[in-house]
Amino acid sequence: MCGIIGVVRLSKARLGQPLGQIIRQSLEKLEYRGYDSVGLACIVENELVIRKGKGKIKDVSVTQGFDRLNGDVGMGHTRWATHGKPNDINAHPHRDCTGRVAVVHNGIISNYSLLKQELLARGHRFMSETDTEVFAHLIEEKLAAGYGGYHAFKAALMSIAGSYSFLALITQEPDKIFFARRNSPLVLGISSDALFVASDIPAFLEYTDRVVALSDGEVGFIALDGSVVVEDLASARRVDLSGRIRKIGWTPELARKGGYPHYMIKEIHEQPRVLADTVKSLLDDGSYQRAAEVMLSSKRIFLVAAGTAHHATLAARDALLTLGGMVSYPVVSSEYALHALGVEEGDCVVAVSQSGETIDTLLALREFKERGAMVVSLTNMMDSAIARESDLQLYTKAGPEIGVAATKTFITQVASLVFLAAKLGVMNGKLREDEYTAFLKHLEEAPELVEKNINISEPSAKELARILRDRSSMYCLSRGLGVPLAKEGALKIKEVSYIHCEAYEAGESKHGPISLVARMFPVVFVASDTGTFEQLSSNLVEMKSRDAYTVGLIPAGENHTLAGFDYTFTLSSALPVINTILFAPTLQLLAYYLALSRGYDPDKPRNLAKTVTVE
Amino acid sequence: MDSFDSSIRYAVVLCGGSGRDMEPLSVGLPKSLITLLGVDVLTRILQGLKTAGIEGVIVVIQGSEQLRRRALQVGEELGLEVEVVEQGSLREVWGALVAAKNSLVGRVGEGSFLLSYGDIVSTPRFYAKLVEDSSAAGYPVASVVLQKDVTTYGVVKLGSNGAIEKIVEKPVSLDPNMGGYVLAGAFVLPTSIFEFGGEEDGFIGVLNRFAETYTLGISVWEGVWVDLGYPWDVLTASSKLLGELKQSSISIHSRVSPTAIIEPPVVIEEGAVVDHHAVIRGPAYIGRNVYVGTGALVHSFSSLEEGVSIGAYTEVSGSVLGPGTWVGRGCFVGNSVVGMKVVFEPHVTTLSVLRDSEMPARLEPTISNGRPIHKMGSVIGNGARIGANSVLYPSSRVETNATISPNTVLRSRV
Repeated sequence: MCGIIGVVRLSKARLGQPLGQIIRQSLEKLEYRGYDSVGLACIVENELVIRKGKGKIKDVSVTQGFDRLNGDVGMGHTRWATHGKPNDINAHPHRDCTGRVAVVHNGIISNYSLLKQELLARGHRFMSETDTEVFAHLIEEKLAAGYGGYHAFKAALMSIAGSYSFLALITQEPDKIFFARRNSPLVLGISSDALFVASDIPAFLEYTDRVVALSDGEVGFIALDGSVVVEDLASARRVDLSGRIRKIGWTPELARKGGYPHYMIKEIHEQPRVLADTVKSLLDDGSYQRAAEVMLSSKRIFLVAAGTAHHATLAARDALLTLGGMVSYPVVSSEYALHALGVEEGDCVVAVSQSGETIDTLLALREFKERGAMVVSLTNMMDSAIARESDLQLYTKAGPEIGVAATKTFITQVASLVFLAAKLGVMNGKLREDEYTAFLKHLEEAPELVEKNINISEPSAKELARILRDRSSMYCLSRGLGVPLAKEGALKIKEVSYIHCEAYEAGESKHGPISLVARMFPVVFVASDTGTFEQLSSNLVEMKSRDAYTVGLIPAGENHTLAGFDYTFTLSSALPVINTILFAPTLQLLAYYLALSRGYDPDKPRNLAKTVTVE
Repeated sequence: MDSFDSSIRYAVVLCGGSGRDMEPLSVGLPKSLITLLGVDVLTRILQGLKTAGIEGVIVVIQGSEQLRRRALQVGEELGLEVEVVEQGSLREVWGALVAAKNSLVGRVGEGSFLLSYGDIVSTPRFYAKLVEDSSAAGYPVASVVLQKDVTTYGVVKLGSNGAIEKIVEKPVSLDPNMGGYVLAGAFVLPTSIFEFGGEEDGFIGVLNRFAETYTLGISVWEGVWVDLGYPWDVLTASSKLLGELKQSSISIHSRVSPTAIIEPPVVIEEGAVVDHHAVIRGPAYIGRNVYVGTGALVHSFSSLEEGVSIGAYTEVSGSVLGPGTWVGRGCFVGNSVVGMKVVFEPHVTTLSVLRDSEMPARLEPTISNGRPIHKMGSVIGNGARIGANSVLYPSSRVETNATISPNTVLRSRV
């Protein structure tokens, strides 16, 4: 899970800054993919110059002088360690024995130890402990055998098993960046000033929004003469790109912080707008009708996702049950092998992934498809691997999400899935027309209510964070339709503030977890499902009687008995299925301010990267 | 404004204004010269501007010779080109800016400048981040901070593009349609702002008109920030600055008894004396030539400014004691703001725990044992004298140079 970027500058007149600076700025936009070490390589007067080191981009950039490096062809890498500790030597790019080949890599080479033994036996010297370095030496061997640069690159790929997106610089053909992808994302960015190849679009969004998403098994190069060549590795056939260039319509501002100190808080504040965009697209998009038809006619529905997207599918399960009267099976992507045993012809799988590149979800989808299931995908990225491999594509309109903690993609995923459930409900007669109309009205009003809830919650979330900052553990409880959000809230708090936070159905307290509760133990109640308030009240009392510090997210203006929290967020609300969307930002804000008040950077949680592209 | 020039070399700092809400602390002392942790507010601002790469500063004052001299002196020490401009009869923020117009336009022409209020307490990165954000955005920006109690500030409403849509001054409560981001008193603006208002206009009105026509972005500041409007803001500012202390610093020219207990982080300046068995719990600040008597207890988040003396067995907690203040033996001073050269005769007690309903505007609760408690001691004007054995009820106010007789029970509310 690393970020890679390659740049070929075509016009010095219009893109005048040093290439090292352009690459460094691009890497900063990819830092969410990993940030334990960083490096870049440029071709300067037909020689390779490599600079790299352990640490955050802004620190290594200063010590290594990234911004002073010039040239017209270069590439960079920000690393999230899988093989070999994060240190200066294991930082990418890696080179061969001769210093004529440099490679950067995202993914895992599964046969690297065998390859490494063979290469060592043939006299190659290895500098690092990484799997990546074998690829540089393989290219070196092919060059020694008389292959040209591009052919050597392709021939070396033939030996590689596992997942990869590779970039390579080879001094023999100093005007080109070679690339290849298999199971790890790679996109081309095309403009008249420069050509880009990167793990994700924000890397080059400052310069162009014309992109081509590469498919698995594609290989090629971008060159100083402006040429973009893509081939299918297996068949060696040239791929026609003319129909695949998309203008995605994202502006450079979307990948900037806009005056906020972190992407996470900027993205929390973007939620009203992206939710409005998503809701609008739902109503205009015929794909939801088709997806609902597929789901309705299928024997069983599996909802496959990981992390935050899994919590969105839990909300979908509940909505399918309450609005559509249908039972569905949420599956955590990494557990797909077990669940696949029960999949057969006539089943349907809904795969949900922000990036559309989550490797576990992709593998699950392939396995389920293989067994005859129809695949519907919901992603935030056009042409992503998961979208391409599914029978029906649905999209959220969240725009680029750079903060590692998913925020705006969660609420847009929930909106899309709940809408899908309501469509289904109408089609199978569980939801009356007037109920559906009322539901749509609530959904259309949701962006405005989300904005109000953000505005009203933010100062309180910051204050509450000051009160809770020294705690090491807390609970986040709910009942009924509120449980998925409680789980998502607990995940947010864990991942950015490092406070252990556990979510469970509030009725479970007496079956074990309440034994942890002592004086001042924080317990957050997500009271978004009005139908459960009576039971939730008794759960609150049992926590208060143990002197817990109780926090409530409760609907405003409701005539209910739920009161007596130590700290209360009174929020605008709608139907319980939609409250998951409306209440989510409050927990995101609490997680964000807990991180700040504990002195952590919420954009760079330790041990985490955003897009999980390795198993 | 056809194109926005984001290279910022000049700043305007507004130090005029009567400081009426800050009384009695501002009687005879402009707000910008209040000392916090040994450094006055104006010096802190000029240091911050220097860090942000500012080369020249126009300081606007209203009649204070003290401020004029201080501004020029600090400018010289920091290597900043400082010009002092008199605000005269022009009123409020916009009037002060209009007073600086000629000097400013003479320096930057149609370019941009940094504007800062003169009563902002922050850390040096505050201005640097503002300049960086403006430069990254390529348009004018206003620094904003998140506040729970917004009733005394200018609240900004952000549009869907993340820029300021409008500003509402001193709303009655937190409005769900507006949110909690308020103007932090620092801006990067083009000189074309002067086209948006006449001499009699209000600054917020001018900014609103400007924001209707051009993009006015935000720079969200998460660090230390306090607007010195009310006396208790001095307490908030001091405790936030103390909260930033990461390590102790004890001058070799101080004298700390080997039996004193010092819990880091503390700053003990040159010439300070900490006597036998005194206890200082950090974060705390002990200024130049301060005397801490035998067995005295200085609790965390206290600041004893230059020349303060506290007698034997006195306890100071969460308070700021202004320069030259003298506290006799056996006193308790809690959550109080004490001006310059105040005298506490022995055994004076200030009370501080308030009912929630009695909280003054924008005072943040203290977190004690994981729960918020509202505390506010006394506000005591410069040169006052509090008689022996007096008891001051929570949020009492003692006027400048007032004398309170011994054994008084004082209930005057701030």
